[in-house]
Parts: sequence; structure tokens; C-alpha cells
Amino acid sequence: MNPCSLLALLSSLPFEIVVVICCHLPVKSLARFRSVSKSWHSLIDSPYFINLHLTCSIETNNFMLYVNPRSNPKEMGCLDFASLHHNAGARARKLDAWPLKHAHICGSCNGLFALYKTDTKSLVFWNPSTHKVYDAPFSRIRLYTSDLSTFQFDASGNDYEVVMIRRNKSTERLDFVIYSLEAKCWRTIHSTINGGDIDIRKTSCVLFNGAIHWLVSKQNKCNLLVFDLRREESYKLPLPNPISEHGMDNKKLLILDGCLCVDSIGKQDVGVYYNELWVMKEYKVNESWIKLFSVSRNHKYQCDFHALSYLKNHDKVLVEFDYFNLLYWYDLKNESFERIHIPGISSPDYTICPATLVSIDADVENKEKRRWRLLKHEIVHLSFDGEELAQLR
Amino acid sequence: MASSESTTTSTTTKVLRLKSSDNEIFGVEEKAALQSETIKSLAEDGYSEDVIPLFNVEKKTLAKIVEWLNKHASGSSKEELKRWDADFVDVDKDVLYDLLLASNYLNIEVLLHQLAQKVADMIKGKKPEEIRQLFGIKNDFTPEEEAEIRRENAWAFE
Repeated sequence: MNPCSLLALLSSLPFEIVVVICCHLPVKSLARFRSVSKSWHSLIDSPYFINLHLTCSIETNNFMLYVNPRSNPKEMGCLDFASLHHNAGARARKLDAWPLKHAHICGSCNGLFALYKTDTKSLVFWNPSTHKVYDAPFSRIRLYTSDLSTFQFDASGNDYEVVMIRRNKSTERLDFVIYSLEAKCWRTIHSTINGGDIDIRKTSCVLFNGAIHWLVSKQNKCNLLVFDLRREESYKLPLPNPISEHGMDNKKLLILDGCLCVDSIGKQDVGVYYNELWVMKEYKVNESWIKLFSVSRNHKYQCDFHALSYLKNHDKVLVEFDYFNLLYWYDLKNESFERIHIPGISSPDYTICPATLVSIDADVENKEKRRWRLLKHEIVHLSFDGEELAQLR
Repeated sequence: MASSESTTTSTTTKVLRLKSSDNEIFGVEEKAALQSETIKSLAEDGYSEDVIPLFNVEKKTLAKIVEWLNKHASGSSKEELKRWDADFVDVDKDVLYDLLLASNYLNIEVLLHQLAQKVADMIKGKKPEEIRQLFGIKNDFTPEEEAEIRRENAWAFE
């Protein structure tokens, strides 16, 4: 490359184009370029740019796959999607920035992880891309083994929230215990949903668009039960007809590319199994359900997988098989699988997150964030490891 | 793909005429041209029957832009488009510069981001000193301030 002509290209570009170029830079480069000048420093730290970079990361599939072995959750490794894509034998880079010895992942959102510290019983927010850690004040809470926790960006209130779902011991109904980063405190919503109808630990559940969604089944007819955390009300949404008839076993709710999805595994005929993925293209619009793929195989284990991420631009879905937690790319066009080898890690847990500059201190303290545009997308939910929590008490 | 194309061409398609700053006129199908937000608003303002003047784009750049607009309205498959786009942005830096300015002026967001990605890939591995030199930026930090900011992101310099 001729450095002189690169100089000629860059030195006279208008600043608005420089900003667009910076949106496509990796977080590590941006962390370095903060020391270029005062104007670059304030650009890269500004909520406006952080949000622009986040949007760009999501659109260009600038995602990270975080892998931690179940036997040792603190040994986290990460890979970027580009390396998964071009090299099926990618090696996970070990993360040495894991901030805490005693912490569980509550969930991830916009490149941020919400962690529960089991020693102080409080919340910590961590962005592995920027290495920034934020200790949430007044976030002490006792977690029970049966609790389920999730983490979301609530666009309507422009707030990050950790939501714990638990069964009320006296009323047997479901309670939602919510930590708001804006309010810096917990609040509890008592719902009228009967806890006996939903097994929190087993029923597939996702937090999406400020509401909790479960699969529920009555007389073999499967529906979505929704609890809106803002309005504090519950209602039902139907599933697409072809998959609503069978029970809710072997169905899983997930969020792919900013849409609510249902993965359904079942038996077609004698000895033929299938796995179908249905996407609700427009939220709450029942007519918008479409089938993204349908895989039929002769053995059940060949269909026992669920989707983790959808690369729209490549027509590929990242899937995890239940056996040995193996990862594959499923090519929608060729209807074929391609194995991804991640050496050195056995039976891992996976978390997928965009690589972003998002950090809590800047978000919460800066009033400019009120103008941020809505971002609906991946919210991962994970349950805590029951045994480890039991030991703590 | 081929069958759907042949059915659409049977109906008469409207052609917009775009004029470069050096007075060259390009005929572009409306569907292709309206990918540019700037052309779209000019067409809505009543220029559509007449020639749409694009004062900031020279003919050699407009020819490339028209090529991109046509390709992206042709219904090519995603894979083909991806390969085609990779070749399209693989140009000399002076051409890249003109395309960046033109796609920004014409408000063709997809193209602007493709070009920006190309430039980002060229500079992502650079040091802050190199960035200053390339963008013609003066270092306005005191040595203490600069050292402090570098310390905050020491991991990024490894």
C-alpha cells in the first residue's frame, strides 16, 4: 500500500464521513484512537457515537461468541464471528479480563454482561470488549436457586434492567424483581400468574420488548403467555397453526435478529423427525409468522438442536446441538450443516453479544442518552447454577 | 431470478435522467435511482420529468455510482452481490475518495457503509501517531493527558 495516497485520501475527508469510517472500526482500535486528539477522544466517548457503533456492529454481524466450560465458568474464552465464519477450526482466545472470582452471568445485552456476585450478593456490569466493570450501587439481593434472571435494554424507559422471576412462597403466584440502572434500586411486581402453571426452570422463557414470554399449553394447544412489565398485565398470543397443536415439550423460545422465534422439534411420520424454526417478523402480528427453516432427519439426535444466531446477510444460522453442545452453521440455501471446531473446551455454555463500546457509567450519567434510538435485539437468559447457590446459603 | 426479471421488464419502467457536474446525462431506471435518498427527494420535488442535476458528482464517479445502483436493483443473489461489492470497492484511493464523497452527498447509505468498511480495514491496525499523520490531525493533548488516556486503555496497545 502506498502510504502517500492513503494520506491524500484521509486528510481531506469531511468529519461526518470520518465518523462513519470509525463506526466500522473494532473496539480495540477505537480504544487506541482515543489518544489521537481531543476531538477524537470526545467523539469515541460520546453516547451518540457509542450508539452509532452499536447499531453498526449489529448490522454488520460484528458479534463475539463467548464460551465458558460448564465445569469452570470462570475460564471464559471468546471468538469473533468473522473467525468462525472463515475458519471452521477457530481457537477461542482466553479472556483474562474476567472481573470476578465469584460471579454468575444473569444475561447479556448490547455487548454488556450483567453478573451476580455471589460473595457480595450484588450486581456488576461488565463489557468484555472495553474491559470496563461497573459495580451497581444498592443492588444487593438474595437469589434463590429457583429464580431465573434475565437482562434487557428497555427502550421505552431508556434503561438497562435485570429481571428476576420467582415464585412467591405465600401466594404461589409469579413475582418479578427488577433492578433498574436508572433508578439504581430494585422493585417488585406481583403478578396474577399462577406459579403452578409455569415451571420457571423448565418452561422456555424470554424477555423481549419489555415483556416476559413463556410457552404454555392447555389441552394440547400451545400458546405464548406474555407479561408486560410496564403495564403489569398479562395476555396470550397464538403460535402459528402448524406448531400450535402439539404440546410445548421440545419447543424453545428465542430471539434472533431482533425477532421473537419458536424452535420446534417433533416427529413427522414413523421414523422421521423434524426441527422447524418460526419467526414472528412483526411483534404481536399473528399473520407475520414465517418458517425460516425446516430440517427433517431419520434420527432424533440429528434434529436436537436450537438456533443461537442468524446471519441474515449470509443466509446462515448458528446452531447448537444438544449432544456435546457442538456448534454448526446451518446454510439456509443449501440446507446443509458445517461443523465449527472450537478446540480445547468441552461441554461449554455459549453467549453471543455484539462487540460494543457500551458502558454503564457513561450511559447512566449522561443525559444525552435520552435521544438514543430504540434497539430491540438479543437478550440472553440464563438460570443460575442451583448447586453453587445452595452452597452459599 | 431470471424469470422474475423478464416479467418486470415487460411493463414500461420509468427512467430518470441524472446530470453530472460536467454535464453528462445518465439514464437510470427509477427503481435503481431511488436507492439514493437525495435523488428520491429531488424526484419528489418535481425534477422527475426533467433532468436531475447532481452538481457535486463528476461523470467518472457518477458512472461508477450508476453501475452500483443498477447492480443493486437487478435482483442478483446475495452471494453474487457480495462478490460483486468486494470487487467494486477494490479501487485506487483517489477513486475511493470520490465514491465516499458522492455516496455521502447522494445519501446512499448501504454504499457509504461498504466504502467506510473498506477504509476502516485499512486503518484498524494503525497507531495513534499514524492516525494523526494520515488524517492531518494535531495532537492537542499535554504529554500528561496523553499518558493518562493511554494508561486507561493499555490493553489496546498490546
